Amino acid sequence: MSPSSSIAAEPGAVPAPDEHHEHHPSYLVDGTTVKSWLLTLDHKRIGVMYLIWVLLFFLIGGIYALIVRLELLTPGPTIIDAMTYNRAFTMHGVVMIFLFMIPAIPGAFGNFMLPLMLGAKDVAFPRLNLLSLYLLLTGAFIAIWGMINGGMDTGWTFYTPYSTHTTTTVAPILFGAFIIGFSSIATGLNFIVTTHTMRAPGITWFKMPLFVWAMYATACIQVLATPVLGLVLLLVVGEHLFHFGIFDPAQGGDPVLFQHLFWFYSHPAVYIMVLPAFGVMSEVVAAFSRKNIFGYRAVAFSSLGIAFVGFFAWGHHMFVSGQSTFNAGVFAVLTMLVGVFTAIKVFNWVGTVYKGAVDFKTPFAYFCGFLYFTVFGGMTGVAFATASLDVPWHDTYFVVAHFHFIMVGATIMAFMAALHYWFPKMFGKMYHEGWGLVSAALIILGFNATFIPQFLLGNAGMPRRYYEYPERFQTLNVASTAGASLLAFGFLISAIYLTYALVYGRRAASNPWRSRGYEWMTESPPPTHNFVGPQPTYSEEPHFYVEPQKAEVPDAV
Amino acid sequence: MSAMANESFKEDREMRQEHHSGPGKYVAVWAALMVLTLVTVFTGRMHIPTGALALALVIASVKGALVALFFMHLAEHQGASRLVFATSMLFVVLMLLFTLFDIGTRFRPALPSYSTPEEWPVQTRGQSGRYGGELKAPGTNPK
Amino acid sequence: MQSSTATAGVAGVPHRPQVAAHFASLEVQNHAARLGMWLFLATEILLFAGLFVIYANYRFLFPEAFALASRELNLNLGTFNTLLLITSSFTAAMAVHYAKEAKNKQVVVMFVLTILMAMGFLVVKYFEYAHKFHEHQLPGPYYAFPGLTLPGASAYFTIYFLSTGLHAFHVIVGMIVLGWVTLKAMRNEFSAYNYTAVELGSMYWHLVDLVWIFLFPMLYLI
Repeated sequence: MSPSSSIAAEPGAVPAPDEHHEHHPSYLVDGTTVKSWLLTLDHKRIGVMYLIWVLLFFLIGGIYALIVRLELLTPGPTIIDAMTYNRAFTMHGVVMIFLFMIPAIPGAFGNFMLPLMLGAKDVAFPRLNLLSLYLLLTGAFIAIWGMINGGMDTGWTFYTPYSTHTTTTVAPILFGAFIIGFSSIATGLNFIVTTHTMRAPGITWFKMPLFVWAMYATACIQVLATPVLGLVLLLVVGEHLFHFGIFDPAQGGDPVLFQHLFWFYSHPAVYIMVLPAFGVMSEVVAAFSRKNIFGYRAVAFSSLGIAFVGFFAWGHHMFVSGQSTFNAGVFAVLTMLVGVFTAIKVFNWVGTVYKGAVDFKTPFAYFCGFLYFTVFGGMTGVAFATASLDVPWHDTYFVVAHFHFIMVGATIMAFMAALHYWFPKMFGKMYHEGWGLVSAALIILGFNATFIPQFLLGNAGMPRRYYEYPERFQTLNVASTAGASLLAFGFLISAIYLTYALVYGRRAASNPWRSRGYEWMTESPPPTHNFVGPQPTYSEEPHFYVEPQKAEVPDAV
Repeated sequence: MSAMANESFKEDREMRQEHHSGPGKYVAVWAALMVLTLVTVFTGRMHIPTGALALALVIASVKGALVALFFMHLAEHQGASRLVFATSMLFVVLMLLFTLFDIGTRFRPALPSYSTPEEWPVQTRGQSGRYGGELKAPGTNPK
Repeated sequence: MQSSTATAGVAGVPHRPQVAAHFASLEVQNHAARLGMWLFLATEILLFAGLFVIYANYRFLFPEAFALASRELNLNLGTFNTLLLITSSFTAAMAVHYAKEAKNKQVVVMFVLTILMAMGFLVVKYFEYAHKFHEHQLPGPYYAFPGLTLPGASAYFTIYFLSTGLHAFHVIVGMIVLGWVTLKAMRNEFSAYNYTAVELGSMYWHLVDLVWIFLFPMLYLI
């Protein structure tokens, strides 16, 4: 392939000409009634609505997190009673996992970017796409209704037999999560079909952007794992109402079987959250290093590898819950394989940055934080996969800190990086770069300050989900709460300057990052049907940058 | 509105190659399914001591394959559809295997009370007591 | 304005369905619909797989009780229902065959036969359930059948009711889907270019059959 082959709609470094603008308004202003937004079939508007809602759910989950952290400020009761505390950490988990991390990147950025990256006008099933948003909202409102009217104290894992006997409001919250599962399946199904059938000429499988590969792997997990969760949630609701005893040892049932079925979904669900993050970072690292991604096929295949191996690692959640030692050994080995595939990605990202012409903008700052959280969280993960090490650490704050590092840290970093990287694409406005870097620094520091003390607490033996703790743990708990405040402050700054940019920000160029990603080959914000004039031809690789040294000569920054 | 093109030439070509099969094939498959049902009922009534369920499941799998291949046209479709079906079947089998591995090799007192589990070909040390012996008296479990 | 999909069949009877604007051709659109259906069926398979896993584990733990409990089921009715469902699957496959030849009348006949057999299946199922209720062979704590008191027997009936209940729910959904496609066939909509709705509806029905093919030996023949 010759590097000089033409790109029909190459916007280049200069703002795209505005001459088509009169006839082809951007998707944001093409129809301004409320109905034109709420009943839209345009994947971009659905993506924006997803973005608004997941940010709201993130706020709710974050408030619960702050309540939990404030309660743990002192060894005894601080602001709430023990039962409210149990409800608060359960709701923090349920909201953050089912309403923020699972739908966030696929729903908001996947919906918006996938068709653009494939040169398509829309996803394969636009109506199903809209339905998935409303299923999410229906499930969310049922679950939140349940949280307000009673709440639940089981933890987000709903372990039986406690969840079938607790007097708190189990049924609506689990039923809400069941409906959210349908939304997740609909999104995944849509993305798989879109990737198979909607690719524009020239975009072969190995010329798809890496974000698409990651979304494809995510969608496979969503389609294959979520139905099992749906069944399990229905069974728990049934158990709670009728006490069939399938998972109740008092009636001859096996609670470990519940854990098998639950983690058959919920462990792959971790990769539903983190694979899109890997995809975003593959895009960001290439764009801001001004280098083609190092080892494209390795990164693409490792997404599928994580998706497959991640399915057969679920038993590492059950090392101390009565599972056989034989299974523990098998699952320990399979879990470590996930680390191999993740390491392949990490090395390729680092190889991409190496000798690149790094443009240290806000998304790249988040990339650095992401790399740190992935490596540290991932390495504690490999330690956890060793069954003998897991036994003393199990159900301590070490687990909490570990999964917040790898799962939450990586996903939040990627979500923020995607929000900043694609902000000009989605809204056609630029945010303030200085404030972006300041808040990125605060968020990364705050995250460390929150969870490094929790690593130490867990290693010292403080169990998770406890309302009270001995005096000697107080210093670290105060440090963790202070870190959480810093984290919240960082997000507050982001919210302020991004909202300001949305209203008063200066108009962004079509391709302010001079990225070679396919999604930047149309205007920013894109017109309703994504392209004006002839369909672009995609003759180059998705992250094709000429040698960075040479590239910097004609258009140095 | 400009015309759109897709990369999926291959799928496009498959679609044209799809031949129209006559009703004869459906009748043959239907007859085979009826016969296999009667066979499985017959063998099931014999209550074979070992492998009865395995035999029944093999017959069911053959029947299922006939339905999927011919009634659902998987024999004619190439590529993605087959991959989806095969993958889902693979995951069902693996989910079954991993849970059965667990329950077959688990420490006996961690199984539901009154259960009489079948013999399992693999014996692990965890199934009996910690040092290979029988169960200890209550209250003397290792800390 | 916003809408990028065209709705087919607004006025008159379209000989060829319209291609939604975001698809390259009708072939690709049909391919997408079929692939989407296969993915949906994969989710259904995994849904039932959860129940199969529960069944396999409890059968492993309580082999005696499961064998004896399965003999409490009426094998004749079960066999009859299996044959009925397989035949209904055959008529659904024939409907696709006729749709490709644009014989809409035969499509209607075949689907009506399918739906009638589905109703027959549910009626037989109703009598089986009624017998179980009468004998108190019920799930979990409601189990009170004096003829079989082994531990695990109540678990068998929990799984029996859960799996056949979920399957019966799918039968009802399948009847609604096929009824809707039958209405379209009555309006003469199908031809060699446009039979996707018939094909997808019939695929769903085959899946209902496929699940029963596995449930039948698991529940009746052990």
